[in-house]
Amino acid sequence: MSYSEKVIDHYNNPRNIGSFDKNDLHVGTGIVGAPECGDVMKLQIRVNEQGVIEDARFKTFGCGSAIASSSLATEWVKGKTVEEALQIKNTEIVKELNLPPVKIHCSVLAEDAIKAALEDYKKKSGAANSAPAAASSGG
Amino acid sequence: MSEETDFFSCLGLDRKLNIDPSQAESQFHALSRKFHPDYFQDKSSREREISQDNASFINKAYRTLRDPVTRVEYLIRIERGSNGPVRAEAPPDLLEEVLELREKLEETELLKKGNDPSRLENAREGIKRELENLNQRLEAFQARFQNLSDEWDRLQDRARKGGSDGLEMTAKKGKVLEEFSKVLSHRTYLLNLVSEIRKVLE
Repeated sequence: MSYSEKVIDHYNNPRNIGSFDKNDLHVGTGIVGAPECGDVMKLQIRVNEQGVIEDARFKTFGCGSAIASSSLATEWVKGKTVEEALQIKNTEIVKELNLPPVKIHCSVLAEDAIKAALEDYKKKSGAANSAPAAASSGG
Repeated sequence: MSEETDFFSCLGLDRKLNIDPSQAESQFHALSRKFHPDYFQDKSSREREISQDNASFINKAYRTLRDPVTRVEYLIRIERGSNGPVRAEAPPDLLEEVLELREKLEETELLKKGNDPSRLENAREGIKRELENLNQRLEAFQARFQNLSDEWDRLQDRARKGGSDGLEMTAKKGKVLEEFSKVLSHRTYLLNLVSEIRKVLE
């Protein structure tokens, strides 16, 4: 199977690779895995006071398509609000990267990772807003 | 052979997980001979086609059931009657463990290129301990796998004796399959880690 040019580009020059502090209240972390192949993907977002995702990071241990999908996902979430980022669909990733049918699950993984990161952020910021005392004492 | 025939019945086996390999093999050979293309050379194209389909179905059945893991995966699929995922989602702490270990492996790879033999040695030792731990857990999974197989077979025997599948039986069987799908998924992540560690230790 040959990879598309865009996949190879993301693979060779991954965007936003790395990590944020997962305990930061402005950071949402999503870790997801593919039980069929054992790939693991971590995607993190940092949200500013206006509710806009100002930065994102990823770390993926898996095939080239999984790396490209998550790299692209970090590019796409940047500048979006939390609600807008929730609208990103795996099919858009498939289209952008020209993923073949056997690699569609990689794009699903990336969508799941975005959703998990957003959910984590919402949970953390919700807890911080509704019960600041509990959030600060709980660390 | 009709579409409804499953791989177990095709090879003359009960829908159980502890199978007799020699019985499966001899049935496979007998059927392969029966549908061998040589016997159908002078038959109509329709007959040739059917015999070829049968031969490939038999091959697939034997290949699938010969291996204990693909055997269970196939069982889950036909018992659930859907194309949904056979393996369960991994628990979050397992995924975090995988990530952490993979990061450690990455660091070790960097140390290999660096110039600090004692740090590299330390990292290698740490990884070796992880490998031992993983191997122990994989052995435990192996035992769990066997226990679940035995439990499934007992349930099948009981269902047969009881004549019909009661609600309780269905629930029990569902639970065994659920456990299997967790074990299969967990095991895949660990096996993956083991092979990555081996690469780094080479």
